Amino acid sequence: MAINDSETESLLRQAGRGDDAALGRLLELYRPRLKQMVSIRLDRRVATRLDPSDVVQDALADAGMNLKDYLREPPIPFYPWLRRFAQERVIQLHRQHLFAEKRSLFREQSGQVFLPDEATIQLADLLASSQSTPSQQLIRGELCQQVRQLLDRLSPRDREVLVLRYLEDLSFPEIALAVGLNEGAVKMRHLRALERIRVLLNSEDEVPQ
Amino acid sequence: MIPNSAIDGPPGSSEFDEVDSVLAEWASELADRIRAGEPVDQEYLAARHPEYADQLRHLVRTIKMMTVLIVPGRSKQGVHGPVHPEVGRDEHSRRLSDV
Repeated sequence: MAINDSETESLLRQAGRGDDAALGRLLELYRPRLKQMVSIRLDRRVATRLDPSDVVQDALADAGMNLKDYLREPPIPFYPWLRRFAQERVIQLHRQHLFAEKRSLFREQSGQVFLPDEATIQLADLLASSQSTPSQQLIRGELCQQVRQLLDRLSPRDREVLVLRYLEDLSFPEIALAVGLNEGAVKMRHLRALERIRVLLNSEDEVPQ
Repeated sequence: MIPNSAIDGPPGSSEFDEVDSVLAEWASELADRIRAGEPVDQEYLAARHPEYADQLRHLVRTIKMMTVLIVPGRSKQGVHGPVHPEVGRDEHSRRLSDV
């Protein structure tokens, strides 16, 4: 039996009894988180043609249609299950819009996670817009830019675990479900990715003589 | 400076595997705590775990830098609350506070 938080469990039970309003509230709860995920994952070239909100809407509709199967015997917690629909939508859109152009534009990740080369490019805009004052936006934007550049220099495998933890804000159990590894392996990968980041930071701090 | 042996120990070395496992568990717990906005006293941790003092300082610093990527004020819904209940449940794992 998958473990969800109490609010999600309550709404799932109500939705299972045919309460459409509860189903709506349930999906709305997760809409912001899914939008964040799609915004990060959607390649910039595709994002110029599509609104992430529309992608999320389609993913939520997919989930709604499959909810009865999920409720019969939840295989995993609700959010990781829901996230898969958004992930599938993003993969489909990339195939539709970009694979025909140049397949090598993408790196296929384990567990069918696609991380476009430009996956973190939108970071500065996304994060800067969340701040309240111009000076905060500037400082945060610069720091995000630095972190983004460091992420870009990591291997896809190392980068992926940090993107999932710190950009998508997934918990370690959720990351394990997303990438198809056990939790211990994910934590080890997280540690090694942090170490790579630290090494890169140290190398940047070294001033050439 | 984190000794290379702690992170990149030779394959098959049980000593290094154990160090890695402990650090991996702590890194995930630190990430969860910092994400939840809990205060993390680096010097206290270093004093309590002197054998890992350098590693802990570096981990805290790097994790804090990474958390800049988390959008502030974002609604958090899902399988985990502010503090992950799974952390430290494994009887073989060691929590920072337990050691």
